[in-house]
Amino acid sequence: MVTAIPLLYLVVRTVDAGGESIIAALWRERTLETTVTSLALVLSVIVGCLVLAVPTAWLLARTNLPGRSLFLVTAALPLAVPSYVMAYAWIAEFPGMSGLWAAIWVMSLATFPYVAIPLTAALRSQDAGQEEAARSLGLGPLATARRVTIPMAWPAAAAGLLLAALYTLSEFGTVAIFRVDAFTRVIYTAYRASFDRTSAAVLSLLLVALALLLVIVEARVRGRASRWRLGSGVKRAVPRKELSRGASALGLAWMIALTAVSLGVPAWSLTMRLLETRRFGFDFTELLGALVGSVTASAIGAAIAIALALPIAILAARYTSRMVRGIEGAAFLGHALPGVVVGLSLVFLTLALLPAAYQTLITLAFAYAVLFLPKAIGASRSSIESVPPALESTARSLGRGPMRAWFTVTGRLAWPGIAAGALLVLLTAMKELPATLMLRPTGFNTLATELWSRTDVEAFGDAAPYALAMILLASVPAWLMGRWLAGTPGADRRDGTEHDEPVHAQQVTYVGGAR
Amino acid sequence: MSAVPPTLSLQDLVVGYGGEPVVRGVSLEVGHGEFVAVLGASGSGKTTLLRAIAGYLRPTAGSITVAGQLVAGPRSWVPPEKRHIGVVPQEGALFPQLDVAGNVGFGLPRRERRTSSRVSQLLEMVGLAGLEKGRPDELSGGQQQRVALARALAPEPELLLLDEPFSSLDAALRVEVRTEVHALLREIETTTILVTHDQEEALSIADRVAVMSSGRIEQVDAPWRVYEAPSTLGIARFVGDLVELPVRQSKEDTALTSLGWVPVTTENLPAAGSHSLVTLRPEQLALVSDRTLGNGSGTEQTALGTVEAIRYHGHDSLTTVRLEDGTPVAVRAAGGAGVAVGDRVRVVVTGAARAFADPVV
Repeated sequence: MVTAIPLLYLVVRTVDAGGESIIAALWRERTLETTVTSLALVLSVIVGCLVLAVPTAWLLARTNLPGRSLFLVTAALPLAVPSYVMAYAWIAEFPGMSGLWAAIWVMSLATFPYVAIPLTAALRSQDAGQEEAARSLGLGPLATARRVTIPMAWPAAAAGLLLAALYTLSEFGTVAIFRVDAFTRVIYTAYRASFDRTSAAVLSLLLVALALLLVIVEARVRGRASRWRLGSGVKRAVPRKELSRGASALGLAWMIALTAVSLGVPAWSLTMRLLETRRFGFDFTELLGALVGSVTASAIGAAIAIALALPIAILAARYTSRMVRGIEGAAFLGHALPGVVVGLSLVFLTLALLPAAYQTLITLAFAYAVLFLPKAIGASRSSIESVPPALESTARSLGRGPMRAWFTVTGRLAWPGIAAGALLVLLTAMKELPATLMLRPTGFNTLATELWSRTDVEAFGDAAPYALAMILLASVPAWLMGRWLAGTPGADRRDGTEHDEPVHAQQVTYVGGAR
Repeated sequence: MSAVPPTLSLQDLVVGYGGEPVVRGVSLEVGHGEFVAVLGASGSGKTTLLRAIAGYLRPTAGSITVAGQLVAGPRSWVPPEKRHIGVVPQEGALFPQLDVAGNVGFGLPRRERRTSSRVSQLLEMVGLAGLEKGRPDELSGGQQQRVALARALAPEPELLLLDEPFSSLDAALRVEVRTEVHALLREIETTTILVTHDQEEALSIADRVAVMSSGRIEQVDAPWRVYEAPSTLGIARFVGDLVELPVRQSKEDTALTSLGWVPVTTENLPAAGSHSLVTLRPEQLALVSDRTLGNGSGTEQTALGTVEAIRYHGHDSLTTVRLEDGTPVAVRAAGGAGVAVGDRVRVVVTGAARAFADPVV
């Protein structure tokens, strides 16, 4: 696969450097510190996600909390705020924030929806049968939660936690803003210092190894999740718990506080900075230039990604299940490939093989394609899968050649999904920061880099319009998902049954975020 | 009341989900070791009744007493886990994260869960010996139901509730599994309530059948009584095929219908002259070839008609005959009826009909 080339080259390059320098780079005290810092960050964010997501999911899925359909949307919305924009909003309001705790705080707020949304869906879609059976067998409510509800909801939470953990591990902007020496920042610094690129390469591989380790650990703890629905009959939804007045007030206070810190503070901070900007005046041509830059690079990236994704998606949608499983594995591995690593490897690759391509628009677009290919494959595959193969074979029997049959039937019917995939790649690529910083042509600016350069010199006021533009762009897929979530009926019917559409973790991953 | 209290006693039970009650005043007593079927169409409130007995729903009025202990009443409430009532839900609802042994031992104290003798004993009892390590998703539907049964029986409940446990199985398996389950429950003398919408199922395995309709129990009786002596026309129609004949003229124990003068059972007879409809089961009618009956003889209890349709089932057949006055009647015969569509036949009544006052239900 084309996308593996950058990574392979990184390995080659590291091996070339010779065993001694690898060992030297690995055994430096700095490497150990970086590993410990990154692990501490990731583990703390996992704990933070659980602390924020579990009560939220329970309130939204299992109680009659007033306004829960509204809170379902606000619980998903932090996904629309790129995490480094959130970091910027917090540091602009509280300039004293820095260090590991600040990064843990912001990353937990930015990633908890990855856990809260699928967990809510899992709790809501559980059949009442198992919990009732447990009660009739002599278990109280707490024992039922411990022995039945939690084990059954765990796979959904584990998948969400993996996404949050991978996202945190590969996050560059937030750790850089709070000056946390996690892998991404150390690699970037080593690359900028240029005299120590072997060290950057070694650390990159170590980072990828850590990400793969997370994927493996998650697969282990998740266990046999996919086959957990037994029987074929109609499910009966678990009845919502009637909250007492006091409990309702407590639940509302929790949801409002959560919304305030995850959405309210960033919104307030950005608005205040924006008002300051108006006072000092602002260069709109610069913003427009950055927007054009973002759209151009991302659009080319999306085009390449779809071109690479389509053949794979067609094969995966129509053929063997082993291949499908491989593709699905690759999709998660794609999340495990940090932007800073792809950026670094493409810098090496172009400099060594094709110096003319170094820091060109096409290399940058290629980086986007590599990074977001899994998203493109996922979206195209599911829409192609939904077209019955019989339609295509009927077209063949009516005298159309294979290519023409595909384009006039399957392609024609699946194109909205494929286009949505392309749009998703485009919007996600616009938020990409570290690879853009490394690969962009000199003088070429995107919204992300402009925001970055302003937060880097602590010109917080000037960064606000860029942050706002990014949120607006990022909220397109989040808005689509929010509408789709809100559209699922949750009204309790007289006979006590509900038919909520299950929300799949997979669809949450499509929304993606900044790297 | 006898010295031993009934295993289950319901008094004027009302259950609802906030709006109109779904169960509207049900009283029922179930004795120790008895097998009672609650039979009703969907929407009759039978599952709601079962969920209230299990403790999943709180009744709005009335009381539930299990083995002499009040578990739900105006001022008392015992949660499901303290009621000692076993439940086998419709879909089995096995715990997917546990193996078969884990499921069966779920309700046992921790010590007994580890020592597997009780678990394997239960599995042997339901005919699944040696399947301890199996995963729920690897089992067939019938096996899942048996595991759910073993799981419910493990803590030795006072009362076992079966919520349409056989309805998800295919026809042949359904009969096999329910026959086995019935024999097993009889053997271990477990008091059981079966909720079902399947008349054949209720009639074939229950000691008593409680017929439910619109949230009320309309009749509690032995299966043959429910079939042969239904207390309302609605029950008569629900529990089996029915021949309904309008009454033109009636005496004390006979009524003039399209089939001539038909004998009517005197039990529960509406006030003389007020019964306007009599009903017969198709097996209370027989077909005779037109020629075998001499003209003029046996004009009472018989009528001429034309065979309109034949439903052949192998062991029996149901023939629809259109009488000369236009009334359709169904006639059941063991094996084939020996007639063809279009044949002229004579229909003979071989039993007593039941009379109902009001044909409008």
